[in-house]
Amino acid sequence: MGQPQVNRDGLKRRCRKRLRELELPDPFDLDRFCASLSERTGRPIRLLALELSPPGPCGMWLCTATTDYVIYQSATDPLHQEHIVLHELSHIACAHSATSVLRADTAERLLPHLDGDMVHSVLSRSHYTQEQELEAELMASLILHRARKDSRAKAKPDRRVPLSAEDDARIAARIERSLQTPVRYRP
Amino acid sequence: MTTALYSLCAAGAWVAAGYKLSATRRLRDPTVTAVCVTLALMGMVLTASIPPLRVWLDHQLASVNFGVLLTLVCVVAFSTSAQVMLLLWTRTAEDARGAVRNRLIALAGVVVLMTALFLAAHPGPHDHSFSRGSAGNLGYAACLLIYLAALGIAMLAIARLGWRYARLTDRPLVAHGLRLAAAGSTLVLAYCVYRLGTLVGAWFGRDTAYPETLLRLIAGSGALLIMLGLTLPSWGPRFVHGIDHLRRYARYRRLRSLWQSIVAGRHPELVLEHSTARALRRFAPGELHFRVYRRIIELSDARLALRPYIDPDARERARLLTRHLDEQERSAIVAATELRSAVRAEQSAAPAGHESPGTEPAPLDGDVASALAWWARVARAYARSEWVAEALAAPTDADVYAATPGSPRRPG
Repeated sequence: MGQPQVNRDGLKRRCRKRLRELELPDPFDLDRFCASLSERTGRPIRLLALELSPPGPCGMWLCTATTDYVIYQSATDPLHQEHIVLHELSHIACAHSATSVLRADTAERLLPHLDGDMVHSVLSRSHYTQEQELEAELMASLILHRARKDSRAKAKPDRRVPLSAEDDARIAARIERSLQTPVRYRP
Repeated sequence: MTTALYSLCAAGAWVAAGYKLSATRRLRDPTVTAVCVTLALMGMVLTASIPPLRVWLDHQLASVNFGVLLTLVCVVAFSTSAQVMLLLWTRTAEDARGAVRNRLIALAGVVVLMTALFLAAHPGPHDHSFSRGSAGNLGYAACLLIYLAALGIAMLAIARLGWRYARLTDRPLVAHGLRLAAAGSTLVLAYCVYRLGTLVGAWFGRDTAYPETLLRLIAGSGALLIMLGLTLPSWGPRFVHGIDHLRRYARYRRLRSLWQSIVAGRHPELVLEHSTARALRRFAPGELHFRVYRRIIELSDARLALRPYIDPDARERARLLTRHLDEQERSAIVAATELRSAVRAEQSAAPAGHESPGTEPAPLDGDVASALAWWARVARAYARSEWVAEALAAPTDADVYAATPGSPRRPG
């Protein structure tokens, strides 16, 4: 199955516009972002880490009547996990719809986590051959790129050296202020 | 060579002063102003000391070596400015006000005294001998002593404060800057002590030959270090970011062949966007950060997609062969072995015939920079590690256990 003919420029513009509307926490924190998204949609969002076997997806968004579940692959590193979660959250932020049916074996594995809810719909992250998947993947990438860029622009936490006296601390602060200039660039 | 050195130092001092001038206007902080003025006066001293310019100045006024006088006065002014800078660092602006005022009054008095002594002394046409002109000329000798004392006091104070607060500040670039300034001050102080020695020696009739060029090199280098030290905390962050950016770009390039092999070549559906941007655009900071992030995510996705094809025996062999290495290197080589074995099996369309094994855990904490560094190691191991080649071959267990550190069979 080849890539669909998606208007990429239009997609990017849409994603950047949505990104401006989203209130990204500063500094970025996934739990806080999740909470603010949940507030926007009026539905709780639960994150579940599971070992998902290939060739299946590494992430899924499941809708029930009351709750949005984000299932993500536990057998990968934290950065990848965060991206997978953000991909699924981007589906929520973009108000995507899905009509896929959950496979029986997957439903059986997930049912203990779903509080007995019936699963209404599923979207899964495997590859980007649909416009919704492309949009969610681009949104997730832009969110984390923006979050990392903002954290890079701020001063890194200084390593603390214990100072012998308060006078020394004040003198060191005056020296630092006079020799440093405020950062006016964004790397 | 002296001309070139002093010209370079003078240019550096003026650039540094100009750099600080913009901060002075923005911050309106007396300590910043003091740093700016100190650098500007250093520029004046060094400019007036450039030999051709000094000779030209010497001849502008009849019977007065104006170049020499200007240099002496500028040095005393520079010394006063440096002392004011140190006062404003070590005291609040209100507490320092009285001491600063006293220094400025003393400066005015010393300049008047020095000028009067110099004019009365009528030193001969300027030559390159610092001390010979003073022998028997009390007034000129007094001028030179004032010059050396002023310069020496300022350098001693900067050196002492610099070494002390370099240890106490918690900003690395400020600490490096203070150390540079202190080191430069120490060099200039050594120059002052030597000059004092030759001055006293000449007065007592001992005209020892001394390497004038070497002395000027020491003084010029000291001035350069002071300039660098006082400005490093301002331009240092840009320089550090520039180095980081180059390092990031180099690592991004290093991932290309691995990405081609396991993503673009085998799983193109994982690629979000095929780049057609020119190299220059890919190098731009914002663009590069995004591309690095995407490359890491696509490699991670491909790694998961290849899991069913990983050969667990090859992975175990790789773990055994690299058990003596540090965690980062070991995990990268094992991951590269997994990928190689999986690509080999996928090419022959034969999954490993076992339940899909997990992948070697990567020792990462969610930081893009450390993920990039780790994947760069994986890419290097994937391309040319002998450990990987050895693990993919199928030796007996005895061979694997024999390949311990120090064993002649251990690959390089």
